[in-house]
Amino acid sequence: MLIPPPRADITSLIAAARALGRTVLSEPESKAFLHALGIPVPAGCVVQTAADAAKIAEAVGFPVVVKAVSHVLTHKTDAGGIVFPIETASAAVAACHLIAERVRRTRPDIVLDGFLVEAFQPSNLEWILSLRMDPHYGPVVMFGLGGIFVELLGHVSFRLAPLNGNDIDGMLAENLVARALSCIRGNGPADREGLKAAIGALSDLGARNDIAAAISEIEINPLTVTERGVLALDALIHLRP
Amino acid sequence: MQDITPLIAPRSIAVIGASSSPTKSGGVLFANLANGGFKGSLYPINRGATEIMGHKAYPLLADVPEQIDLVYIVLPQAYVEEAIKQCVAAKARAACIITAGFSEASEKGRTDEDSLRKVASQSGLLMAGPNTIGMVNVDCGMMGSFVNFPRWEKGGVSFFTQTGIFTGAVMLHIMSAETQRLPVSKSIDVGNKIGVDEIDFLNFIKNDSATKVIGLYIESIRNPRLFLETAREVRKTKPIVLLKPGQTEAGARASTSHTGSLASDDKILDDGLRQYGIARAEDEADFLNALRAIVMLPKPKGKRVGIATTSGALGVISTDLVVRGGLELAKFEPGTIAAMRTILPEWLSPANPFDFWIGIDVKGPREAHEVGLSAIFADPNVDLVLCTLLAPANADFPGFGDLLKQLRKTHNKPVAVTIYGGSARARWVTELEGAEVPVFNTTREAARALSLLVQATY
Repeated sequence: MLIPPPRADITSLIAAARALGRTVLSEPESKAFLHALGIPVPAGCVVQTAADAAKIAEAVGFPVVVKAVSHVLTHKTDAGGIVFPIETASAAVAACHLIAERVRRTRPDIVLDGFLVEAFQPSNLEWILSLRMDPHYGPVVMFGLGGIFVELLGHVSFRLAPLNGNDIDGMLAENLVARALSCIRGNGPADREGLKAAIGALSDLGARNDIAAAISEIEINPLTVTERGVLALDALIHLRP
Repeated sequence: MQDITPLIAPRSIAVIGASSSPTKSGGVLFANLANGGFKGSLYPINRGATEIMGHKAYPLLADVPEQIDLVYIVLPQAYVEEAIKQCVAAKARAACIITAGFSEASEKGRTDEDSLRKVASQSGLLMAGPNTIGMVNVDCGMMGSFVNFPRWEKGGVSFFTQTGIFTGAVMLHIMSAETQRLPVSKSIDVGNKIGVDEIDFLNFIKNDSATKVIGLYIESIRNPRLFLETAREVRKTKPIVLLKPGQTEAGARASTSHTGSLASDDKILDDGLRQYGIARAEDEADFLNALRAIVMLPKPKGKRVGIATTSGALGVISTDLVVRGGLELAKFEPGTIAAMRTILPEWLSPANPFDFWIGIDVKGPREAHEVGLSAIFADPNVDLVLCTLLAPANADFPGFGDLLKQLRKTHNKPVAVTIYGGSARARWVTELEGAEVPVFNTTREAARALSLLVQATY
């Protein structure tokens, strides 16, 4: 992946993972997928060595975040696989060593595919946005308060895809969501249009038969929504087994 | 898509297990059909009788001289399968199995139920039940139940239920009400639901001119996606209220993703109902209240509520309930405020909720109610009216019912009324009969009914 990632074709991304016998796209693969859909992702790149991490960090511009890359490691935070904010090239090198050591300790079963170095995006509030091919309800879009405590918070809502404009507005009008979107701690109002476009992009995807047959779930968590727009900070795509 | 007309609106009915005995289910069901004014032909099937209640009896279904639309089966559990075989052999179009003791009762019952399904599977026989109180269609005079219903208020509500005796008890409750009786068109209880389901029912009822509002009590939805999509289509012309228990069941899906853990069937259903404008009731009272409000009231033009009250406390309580129910408080026009001022002392400013109790002291009960209620009904910013009134002797006046009746008619806006206490209450409620003004026991129920009305129709 380059900075910013090139527009890949989503069907070839799915085919590539399938060819490797995988049903999970790694974070950088998932982000390339989202980028192809027009959902913004942070500028960044996957590297194999700590030295390359430092170079990419300088190219992207500080601060950056460094993350473990593995299609097996679906909950990176639990394994200590994320370090941020990183302000210097030497800190980027140290972060790679630290992550490698932590993953070795907590998940000895995993061989890392590399490190993802990305522009660090501070955010006050984290959202979750997903498309799920539900066994009973078919394609559904979920949106709400995200982060690692998303299940505890339980502030999410579902809509059956495809969603029309009213459906999306209804989702954003839900009590706490509406308040959280309007203004947060001195920030300007969130980019609602950008958010609606991202929800619409997943909804459109859910209505496609080829996608419904290939994918079981796309989960963006966290997604930030600020006055500067939306940004998918992490994402995971599950293919159908 | 199967046409279930022969089940719901049959031209001919046979009852296997009909008898003259008033203590047996088969006897009561046949008597209800015979006395209910059914418009088609009616045949008792009984091996030991030649005639039952003036109707010629036949030993077997095959002996009946015409092809039958609907066969009620009211037999002991062990004989049901043989009766279904008779239905298939005689090419009956539909069967309603009243008998209980199947999947709801035991493992053996479950196996027996599967073989009923198997027997009917190739024949196209439409099936309701087993374990049902039966089916009522007021429009064609079919009182096909072993519950003896005293009186039906013919009207626009049609029920589809999936339960045994609950439906009967609820129907009896509806019918025994002295005032505010719910007008019913059809009540179809499919019990264990081995054949005809909610989607078949919705497709039928969509084109049923007698049905204005639909009430569904469903325990399990066979095809949730198709159900919601069908309901969305039907809802364009007929509002739907769903009562489906099981909201507290834990999401049973093991999942590696947050989304998967959060995607319980009930959560998606709940949100999908909201998306498609189907009202979801929380309990049996909520269900019936919503149906009563929807069948009596016009579609609201928005969700701004004007609150008329003669109690400051009930006004504030109403405000909380309205806002929590997803509705908004209307902002009154200057003309409305000016009209309201005429019944208040100078030092008091009218607002929403409008409490005009003091107007009763100033202008007397008639003028206070006339001006107070008229101002709110007439305000163009008011889409719905919530009236929560007190009825002690000093607030009473002759013609309360006529006043509300006339306002309801003139402005054609949805209104929900609660009347508390006092000697006049019973008379006020009686005066509102026939006025298409729903009255509720509590402010909570009234506000909730308006909220579900908006969900189902706006």
